[in-house]
Amino acid sequence: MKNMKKLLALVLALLMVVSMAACGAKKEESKEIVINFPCIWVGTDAKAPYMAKLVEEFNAANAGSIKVVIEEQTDYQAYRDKIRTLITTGNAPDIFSVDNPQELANFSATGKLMDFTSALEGDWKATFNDGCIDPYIYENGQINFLPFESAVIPLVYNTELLAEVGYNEFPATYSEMMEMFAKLKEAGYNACGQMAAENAWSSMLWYSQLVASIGGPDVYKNGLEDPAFVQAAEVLREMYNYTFDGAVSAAAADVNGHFIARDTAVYINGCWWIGNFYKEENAVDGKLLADVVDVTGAPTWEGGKGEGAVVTQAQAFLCAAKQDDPAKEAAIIKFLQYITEPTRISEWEASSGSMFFIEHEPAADLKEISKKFAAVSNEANFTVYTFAQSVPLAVTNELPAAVSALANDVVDAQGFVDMLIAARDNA
Amino acid sequence: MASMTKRLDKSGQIKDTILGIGKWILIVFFAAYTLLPLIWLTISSFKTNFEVLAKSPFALPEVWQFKNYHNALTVAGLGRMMLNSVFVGVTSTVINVLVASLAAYTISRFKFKGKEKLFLLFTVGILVPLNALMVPYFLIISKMGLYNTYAGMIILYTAIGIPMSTVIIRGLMDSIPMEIEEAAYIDGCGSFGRFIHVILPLARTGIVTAATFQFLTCWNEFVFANLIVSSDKLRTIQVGIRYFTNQFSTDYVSMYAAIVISIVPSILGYVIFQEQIISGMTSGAVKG
Repeated sequence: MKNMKKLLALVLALLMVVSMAACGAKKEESKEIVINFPCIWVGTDAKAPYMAKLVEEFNAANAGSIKVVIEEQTDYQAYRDKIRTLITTGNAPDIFSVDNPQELANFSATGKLMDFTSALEGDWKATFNDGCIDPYIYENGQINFLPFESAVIPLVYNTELLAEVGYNEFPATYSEMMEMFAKLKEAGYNACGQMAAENAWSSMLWYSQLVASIGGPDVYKNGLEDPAFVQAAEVLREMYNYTFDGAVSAAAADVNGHFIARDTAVYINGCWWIGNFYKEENAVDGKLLADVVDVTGAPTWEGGKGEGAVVTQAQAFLCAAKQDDPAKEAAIIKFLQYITEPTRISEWEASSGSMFFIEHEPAADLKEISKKFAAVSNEANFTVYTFAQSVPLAVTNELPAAVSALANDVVDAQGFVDMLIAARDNA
Repeated sequence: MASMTKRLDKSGQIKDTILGIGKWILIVFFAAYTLLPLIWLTISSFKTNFEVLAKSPFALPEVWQFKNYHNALTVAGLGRMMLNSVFVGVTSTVINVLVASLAAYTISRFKFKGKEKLFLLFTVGILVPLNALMVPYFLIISKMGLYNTYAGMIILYTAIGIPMSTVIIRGLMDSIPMEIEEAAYIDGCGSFGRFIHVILPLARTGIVTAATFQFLTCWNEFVFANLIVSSDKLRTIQVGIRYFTNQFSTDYVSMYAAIVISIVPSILGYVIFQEQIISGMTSGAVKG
């Protein structure tokens, strides 16, 4: 009987704990409009400090009427999963970002997103690059996505490591580059960073560059049957001979870590990473990473159709949930206009190195590497979106498995492309 | 005859020595296999990022970087997250083992139609990958008005752990002789009384094992912790650990320090309850 009483007491106590826990996070009634923004530009992200500053300033300027609450999201995949789940269940966050254009059509079709059409009718639309919004209008005819962050993706190389193996300039052709890779390996360095885990990001970028250089500007129009995809896969496989151990199971952060640690010579990533070249914590022997790197466009593929190709990417779109309350909708638009205001974009570009779809004057204190990235973009004969943004989602999702199979010699280059074609056809 | 016995003794000794050496090789191998990653993690948590990536993995740090632990505790706010994890983990563990014990008792000790099918349903719950349940679980939690609350996490973790706990506890309850319960029945004990006075004390080791697994599940879970909570004040430790990484860069050393901090409670829990955990696991293992 005593034990039974104890058990009942325990159950009741637990019920009280749980019910109190449920009450714990209830908000007090307030006239202040609270905007929830699950955000990836936090933590160690290069854009995080300026994002935090903007939110702080906006909240101070609108104290008592609007408050933007940042929900810190540092894990990109978890963020994507969360956004997808929230939208699917009709709980889209007030503001959020999407980094994959292939998901936009599905998100738009849910009808849960804010239509920015009327908000853009004034001067706001003119701040966006010409024609950058229209490609992302889907069947409902609404403007649900504001292209925000763009990117150019050149090659970055460690000048000191290249000099050690006798190169003062980056090789002009792919065959010369592969010769240099062999010399770097002989000298004990990783020539390039590859990875097949997660979304195979770095390998995807190398592959994008190769496909564009070999196949030219129309390569994606020809479909995966274009021979350029197989040729590019052969080179990608060879590159795995010149990367660090364990690359197949590595993530993008590992590739970056090796480049920061100065044991990898050539690196590929977008301009959003520029801020990291100037971070004190990435300095070695007092030298910033920026002091030992240079930037170049892709080498030429002899006999290829894509000389001077530069890979670009639409890196982030700003979105908002459809609102029933006009005041909240106005508050959300006010905040989005605030963070996309051209002078702030200039400051953001200068502090992080990121590039944006918003017209702005280049900042006077633009970092040297940002200028070099821009120069590569300006000198491009043509630009082409990354592989991941140029093929159907099913192919993008299959890519990590295909890269892993290629790198482990489970399939050859043709088999690699066959895996991608099968994914496309089965979708 | 004496020399033959001597020879047999000697060959027996050699056999024992070889077996002894073999046993120790196996023990050392598995100890190293288990401990080396922990040692590597702990050493790495005192290094710089450069040392982690470019130097020998087991080399000691040139300067011991205690600031990594300071970063882990202050930058990511691990202290609060750890308390949240303890609160959510302990509460959901207690509720989980309570519910699972009652379910296991019913399935183990009573005869009714569809008993094994019911148990199969519990078992199937173990096999369903949690990620596949993100949308339905989120819908349930949000419809109940428990999004962004401790209660949401507690109820969710309690539910996802019930299949495993029921299977473990049932295994142990099955091994308790019916005669003991029958004796209590003759003494006038009702079914709830038998559960409290007879079965629960005898199934203690299984309950502790289930509780350990349940607590570790809560402690290590990330996907739902990130999904159903938005407030910084309610976040649990696994979300904090990821504070040091994003898609393109990782502060490895601060993250390792955060991981070391996060595994301390699990190790402490194991040290405190190791007797019950081991006996619970082994009694399940030898059950006929």
